[in-house]
Order: sequence, then structure tokens, then C-alpha cells
Amino acid sequence: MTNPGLQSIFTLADKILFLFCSILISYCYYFFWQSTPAAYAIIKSPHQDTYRIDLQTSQTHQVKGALGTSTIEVTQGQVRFTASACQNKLCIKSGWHQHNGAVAACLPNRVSIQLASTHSETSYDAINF
Amino acid sequence: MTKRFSLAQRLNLVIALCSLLYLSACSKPVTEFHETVFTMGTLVEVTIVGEDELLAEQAYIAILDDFNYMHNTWHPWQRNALQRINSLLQTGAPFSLAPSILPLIEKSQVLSEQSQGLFNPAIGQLIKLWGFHQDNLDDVFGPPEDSEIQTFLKTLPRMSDIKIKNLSMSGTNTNIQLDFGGFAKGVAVDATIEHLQEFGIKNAIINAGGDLRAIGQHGDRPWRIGIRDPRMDDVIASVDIKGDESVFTSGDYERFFETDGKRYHHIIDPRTGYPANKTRSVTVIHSNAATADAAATALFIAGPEQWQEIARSMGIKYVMLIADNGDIHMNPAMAERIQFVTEQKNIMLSQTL
Amino acid sequence: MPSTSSMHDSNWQIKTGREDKLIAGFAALAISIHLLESTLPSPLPGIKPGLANLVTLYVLIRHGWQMAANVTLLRIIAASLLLGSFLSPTFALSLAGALASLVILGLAWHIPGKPFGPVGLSILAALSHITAQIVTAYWLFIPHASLFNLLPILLTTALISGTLGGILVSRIIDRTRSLTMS
Repeated sequence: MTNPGLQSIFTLADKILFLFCSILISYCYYFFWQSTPAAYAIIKSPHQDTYRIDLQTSQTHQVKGALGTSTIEVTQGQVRFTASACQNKLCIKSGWHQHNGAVAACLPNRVSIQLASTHSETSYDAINF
Repeated sequence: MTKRFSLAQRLNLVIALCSLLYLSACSKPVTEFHETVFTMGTLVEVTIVGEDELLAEQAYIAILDDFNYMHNTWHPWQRNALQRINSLLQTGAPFSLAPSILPLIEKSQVLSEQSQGLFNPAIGQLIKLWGFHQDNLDDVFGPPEDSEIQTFLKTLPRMSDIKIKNLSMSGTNTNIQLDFGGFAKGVAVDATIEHLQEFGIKNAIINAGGDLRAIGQHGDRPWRIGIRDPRMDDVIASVDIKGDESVFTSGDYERFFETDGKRYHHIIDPRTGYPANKTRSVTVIHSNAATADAAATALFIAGPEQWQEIARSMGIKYVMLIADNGDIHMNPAMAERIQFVTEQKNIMLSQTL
Repeated sequence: MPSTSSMHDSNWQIKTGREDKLIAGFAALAISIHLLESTLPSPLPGIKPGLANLVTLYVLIRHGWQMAANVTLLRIIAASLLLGSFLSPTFALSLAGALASLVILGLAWHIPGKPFGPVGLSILAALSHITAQIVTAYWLFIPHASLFNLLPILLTTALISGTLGGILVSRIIDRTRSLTMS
């Protein structure tokens, strides 16, 4: 009796299936592993205390920076610069930000927005107050 | 005739035995018991981890009884043993010790002295003048007259005005009125934690309205405690505790009333007769809950200028004080332990305690 | 004298045929494997390498779908009773995975010409098994979108273990081709 060898264990349909599944699964990585949305933005600037704003509430903020005022707008979980005292307006051109960990900044004005998510991952065993 | 086991049979036997051993090494998942109850005038959360559910429930019911008893016995203005003692102290005549109140008095005397009088439960009359003795603050319409406060201060009662000799107690100041206010919470937390330990429980948190003591740890990691901002509803910092530690905070936001746009809170400075106004909140980490409770009050009153001195005399090793202007004061050991959620710019480190 | 039926009449006895013995034997094997597997740690309760499914596959190929279904369901219920997890979340996940893979196997097995070999069948079974488990976990226990972040990883391991398992079953079938049950 001849030794079958590994090749004859796979039928044609098996090989096609394997290939198809590999492609499908690769796509799943891309699809499911997009970054998570942020819940709030941390605003830092030289002339104010660091504070947080909730991304779910639509609002506009005037933030005082090194050169002048930057205007920040929040709608539907996204945040962006709409006006700033800098010259090149690169901060405004960077558009809307919404992903966890994203950072937008007006460097000349020293105003930065950092997106973060809630502490639900690091949930507390008890709150002291 | 005995049969010899073949190799295959022996192999099977070995595999079977190994499987049995392997199976027997399986451990139970970590169980969590969590209950919240309104008692001692506040919301109390009990967390027990890693114990049989039935045992945790039994222990919980037992400490519910404890809380009820302590609340009724130590309430400053209900008709109870404390009220009788207060009346008897004011007469100046000796009377026999009340076992239910004695531990409170003895602990308070020690802590009062260590805090240089800033922690002073003997000023119940003053608390009553302000209206903070009652559970409901709706009837309070404003601060008391300054003249009343000054009169009181002239004969300021202290814990040292209570003399204990053998089995009898007497008071040497007719103005003494014991009001253990928040201190009773610390003592209650200690008593109930100890009661849990009597049940054999090793990992638990008892959180009485934000002031807590934790023993053991959460499974295989320390307990993570969030510390709330005195002004916003948010958690501003977290601290990990394990072993046996209490975290207590005194704040100007806990009990207060507002008149003419001014806020008057319940932490009265025995030296001035008025609420201590240089501090927003004080957070203390210490092993014993009663001491942590008294220290949080005393350090609040001590304020940004004096807190280090009082912390040293009380033996407190971890303090965070948020001053009225928002500055955060703490000692280096506390700074190492505490993790702020967002970067804080106005942190003032003190000397080592 | 009227005939009276007694306890010893053959009507009272449960006849065990050849099929029943086969089912019992395979089920016992599958249950043992399942029990051993239950000791292994996993990201979610009930999500395991699925070695017991190889028994299902073997039975499918040698004795048909009906018997494979019998063996599998018997294994799921008996093992969960033995482990004390009957009707528990683990049980729900096990059952969901088993049912899904049985359905898919049934469909694949009855395609005219039987294009899939043991490897293909094993892959189909493994992928449908894990997908059903994640979906069940999402609906019943963890309705959190972040659960699906696990899906790509689990699908990958399912593909690999399905392939290897299929090769293994193929070899075993070759070796046992000559064995029959008396």
C-alpha cells in the first residue's frame, strides 16, 4: 500500500476553502480592529488649568493660548479647531478628531486637545469622597 | 493466574492518573459579593471577594446588625446611652462607665490630644448652635450669633474634661456635650471589618458614604480606590491599596448650608468657633479607620499652613490636602502612591512626614 | 389461563443494538476529551480548542450525520452534567457552538459528490463553532461591541486548529479503516 502523503489529504474544495477563509479572516482584522471612539477631550493650554470636555455634548470653547485665542468645537463625539491665532492654521486643517488617543494641537498657540476614553476599563473597586 | 499489564495498558493507566491529578488542580473562580445599604445615616457598600457566597451573606447580615446598633447607640441626639452620659457629664458627678460608649470616649481622648485639640468631639453644644447636630439641615437659616459663639469659647470643653477613674466617669465642664459626628463612622467601620475577619474573611471593603477601610486585595491585584474631586462629580485620582488600609476624606461639601450666598459647612474649628475655611478637602490613608477619620477632620481644620505638624503628631503617613484656592498639598510618600487622572499643575510637596 | 405479562417479558427490556453501542462508545470518548479540555484556561467561558469535535467529525465521516449528531449532543449534555455546568452560561456556549457546527457539517456532508475532505469539514466545523459562540456570548452575556475585537484572533486559531484537526482525523480514519464494531 502506497503512503498517501500530505497532499492527498486535501481535496480541491478543501484548498479553496482554506484560501477563502484566510482572506475572510484577514478582512476581519481590519474591520474589527479599528480604534475605539473617545468619550472626552483633555484641553491643555499655558494660561488655563487643564480641563476635560465631554464629547457627547455639543459645545464651543474659547481657549486662551500663548498667541491668542483658539476656538474648539464639539459635535457628536468629534472635536476640531475652528479658529486660532496662529498663522498657518494647520490645526484647523487637521479637521475632526474622534479616536481614542488622538491628539490635535495648535503648536504656535500652545493649545492641545487630547482624546481619551472613560475610565471604565480601569474601573474602581470603591470611590472615596 | 495473574495477568501481566501490557505496555499499552500501563501507558493508559499513567495517562489516566495524570489526568486525574491535573483535574484536581483546578481552582474555583474568584467570587464577588457586593451589597449596598442605607445605614448610619449614609450609603454603605460592602464588598467581599473570594469567599463562599453563603458565608459572605451571613457575615453581611451580621454587620448590618452591628451598624444598626452602633447608629442607635452613638447617635448624639436620640434617647440613648450617649444622651444619658451627656446629661450625667454636665452634672459633674461621677457615674458608672457605660460599656457601649467607653471605647469611643477613650479613643477620642487619645486622638484629641494627638491632634492638639483640633479633633474635639466635646463641642456638641457648638455643633448644636450651628444646627449641624440634626440629620435634616432644612431648618437652619443662618449662622448663630457671634456673641453665642464667643460665650461658648470662653469655657471651651475638651476631651480631657472627662475623668475616668476605675469604673466611674465624671465631667469637669458643664458645657460638655459629646457629639461623635463623623468619628462614629470610622469606629463603626473598624468594628465591622473586625467582625468580618472573625468570620474568616480576608478580602473585603467596607465603604461608609465614601470613607472606607479595605483588607486583603481584589483577587490577585490590589484594591483600586478612586478619589473624587471636591468640586466636580468626577474622579480625579486613584490609589492602590492592599493589606489593611483606610482611606478617609473630610470635605466642605459633605454637610453645609448657604445663607446670603455664603456657604457654612459642618467642620467647625474649636479655636474660632467657625467652620474652618482654608481647606476644601483632606484625604488621609491610614491603617485604622477611627484614626483616619479623626485625622481627616483635624487636618482639615489645621489647613494648608499647619497640617504637616498635626499629621506628625498624629502619626499619619499619607495626606493630601486641597486648599481653598485649589492648590494640592501632599507629602512625598502620598505623591508616590497617588495617580492623578489628568496632570495637575498646582501640586505642593511638603517635607517628609 | 390468560397470559399475564411479567417483568421478564422482552417488551420491558431496552434493546441495545449495534448503533447504540457505537454511540455510547464514541460519546464516552468525546466526554472524556471534553472534561480534560474544560480544565484549560480560555478568554471566555466555554471557548476551547474543540478537540472533542474531532470525535464528531470522525463519526460523521464513518457513520453519517445522524450518528454524529447523537454523539455530539449526548457529549454536550453529559459533560455539562458531570462538570456541574448544565444550563449554565458555559453550557449555552457549548451548545451553541455544537449546534452550529452540526448544521454546517450536515449541509456540507450532503452536497452531492462530497467535495470536502476531513480537513475542509473540520475547518467549516471549527469556524462555525467559534462564530456561534461569540455571537451567543454577545447576545446573552457581554453585549459589548469590544467583544468582537476577539473575533479575528479566535477565527485564526479556529482555522489553524480546524486544519490540523482535519489532518489528524484523516490519519486516524486511514488507520482505523479496517476496524469494525461487532
